[in-house]
Amino acid sequence: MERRPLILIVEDEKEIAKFIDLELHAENYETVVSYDGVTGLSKFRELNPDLVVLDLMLPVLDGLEVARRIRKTSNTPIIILTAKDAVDDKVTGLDSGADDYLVKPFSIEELLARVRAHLRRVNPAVTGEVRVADLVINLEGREVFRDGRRIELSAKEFELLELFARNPGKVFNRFEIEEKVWPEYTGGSNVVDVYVGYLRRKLEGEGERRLIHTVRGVGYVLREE
Amino acid sequence: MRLQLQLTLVFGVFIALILSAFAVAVYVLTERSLSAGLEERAELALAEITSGTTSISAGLLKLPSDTYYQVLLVGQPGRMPTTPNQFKASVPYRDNANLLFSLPDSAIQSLIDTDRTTVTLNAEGDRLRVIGKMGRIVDPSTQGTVEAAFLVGIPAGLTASTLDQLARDLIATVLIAFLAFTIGIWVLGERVLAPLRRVTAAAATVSGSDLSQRVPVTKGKDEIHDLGVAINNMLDRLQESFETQRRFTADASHELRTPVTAIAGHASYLVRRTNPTEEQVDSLTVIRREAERMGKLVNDLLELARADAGFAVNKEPINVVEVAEQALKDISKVAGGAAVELSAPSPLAEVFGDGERLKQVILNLVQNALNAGAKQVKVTVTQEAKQVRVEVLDDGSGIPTEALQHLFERFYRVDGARSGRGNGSGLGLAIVKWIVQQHDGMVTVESSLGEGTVFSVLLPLLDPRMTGEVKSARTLPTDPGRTKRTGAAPTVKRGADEENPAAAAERAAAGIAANPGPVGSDKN
Repeated sequence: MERRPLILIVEDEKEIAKFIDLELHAENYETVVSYDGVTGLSKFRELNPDLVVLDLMLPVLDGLEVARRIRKTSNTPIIILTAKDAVDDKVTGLDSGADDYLVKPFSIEELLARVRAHLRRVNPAVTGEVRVADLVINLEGREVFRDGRRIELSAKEFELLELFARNPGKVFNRFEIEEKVWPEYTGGSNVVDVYVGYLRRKLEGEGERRLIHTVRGVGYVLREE
Repeated sequence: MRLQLQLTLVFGVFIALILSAFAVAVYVLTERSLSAGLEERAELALAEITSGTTSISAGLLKLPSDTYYQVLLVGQPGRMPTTPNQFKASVPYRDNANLLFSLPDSAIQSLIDTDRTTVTLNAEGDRLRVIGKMGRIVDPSTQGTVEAAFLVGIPAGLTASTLDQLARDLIATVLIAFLAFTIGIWVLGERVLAPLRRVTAAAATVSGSDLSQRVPVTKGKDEIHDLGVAINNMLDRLQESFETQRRFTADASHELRTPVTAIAGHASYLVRRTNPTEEQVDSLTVIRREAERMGKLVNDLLELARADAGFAVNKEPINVVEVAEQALKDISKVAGGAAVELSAPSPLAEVFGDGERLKQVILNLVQNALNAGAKQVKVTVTQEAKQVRVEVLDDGSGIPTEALQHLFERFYRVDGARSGRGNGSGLGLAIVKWIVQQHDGMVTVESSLGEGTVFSVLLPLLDPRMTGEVKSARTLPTDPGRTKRTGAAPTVKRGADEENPAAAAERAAAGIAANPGPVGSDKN
């Protein structure tokens, strides 16, 4: 029988730690809870969990530092929970090595969905993933990663990428794309070009290679070249 | 007027006045002492001659050079003429007495009465100062004592040329000094004011968003240095208070959100993971819903606190049609029996904006309509020539005219129906206004009681230059029939309950929705 995934919860607010613990148990995960950064870090080293749910404001050693130290030695997914939602805090959080970021008050369903998504990512055997170069598209979890970096896409952006991902190497013309992604509209706008632009900007945000190519006079294609 | 120019002008005029007064004084005093000097020397020489201490020839040599002198024998002592005419008649050598004959009678009378006279003559345009004195000399032929008149004429021209030269020198000196002073003051002003200008420029660049900048502090312990230090101290305190507010926002956010999260989380756990009775489910649902409402209120308060602190939105090119689709997807969960529809003639209406915040604008407006008891809410997104128009139309109770002007104020509630369901925080429309302002747009409202309300949000259309990308024109042949139908603006229906449950669950997993449905349904 397969081992149940072990999740480390580092959260100093006991009431919050408690219900996350209960919910994760109900989802059939093993859990360990610690209430401060130092204990959390030593528990991590001792138990080597599959995923960490980490609060940012922790006594003794703050969450950002815990994330940084974990990241030095391990690729274990880290989901940060925080009451701060300013953009700078998000950036710092993700820069420190966290994979994901949830702002309190969050809905538990969302946390559970992200836990599932990240566990799938570590364990690709059970996922419906499409890989093109360093781009990973998780069709089931509707998540996209480039070079390990999680990319937030809007619903339409994801639908467009999904169309390409399900048919890698196939060249789509604009009408085909528009009919599949914007079925409720008729032609006459440049919505496809605009969304390809959006996707490229997000997928190449850190100067990566282009993966969605323009085929002159025909349309677009997703391929590595 | 610039301070430097003012200083230079004021000092220039001041210096000019002082120098002029000085030059005039020098000129007048010089003139006086020059002429007085000549007269004095003449008087002294005459005094010596008349008192007999010096011989006439030696005395005459002591007269200032270039003076005229005449010695006129007048007569025996005791037989002096008593009138000017007699005086003139008594002079023996008339040819040599022209000085005497040009004297006015009053001067001659004075010579007779007091033995002396001083007079200024104006002969042929030349001024002549004449000093006369009576004295006794020994007549060499008779060896007798003879009364004689000594007259000395001092031509004014003598001093005039000196004074003219002086005047020219004075004017030149004054002009040079004036120019030197003025230029000096201008340069000094520049030196004093340039650091001041740098401080001003630096202070101007320190805006609310970048309080970390400081003005340059000059070296040395002068006033400019003090000013720089004072401004920097002020900025330190200002930055500190902004920091305090920012920290307070973060702390308050943490303190308030944590208990709210815990309450909602535990209530949710009990509802979904245990087997509560129907009454317990009702009660727990209330707890969860109210906790979430409190969470929303906290978020709204923080949003406005950040707005007050000058927090800027994060802009990128976005499609408002999709933003509206997302918003309606979110709102459908709480719409209850109301129908919320989206209508957009084109799939694309791009603006340069913050998607999350614009979504909040639509959410807040729709929520506002639902709170007003609307059964039908219609959201329309249209792209116009220079703007994107988002309209939220409801069939709710309407808003009284007098309330319209207060509608966007914080915690303002229209009496009656609008606050009837109590779902709102009273901050929703204030946030709408702030976000729209951050996008350089405007929001307006029209309403008629009993019929409904329409909110219009106008946002500037995306300027393609902002994206730095050149949009390719459509290169594909266009089916004319299809484009024609676009012009007819087909309405896209997005009913509140139309959402495909599987798709909804999928989206929940993507973190877009937070539907309290059965967990794990996304694994289908």
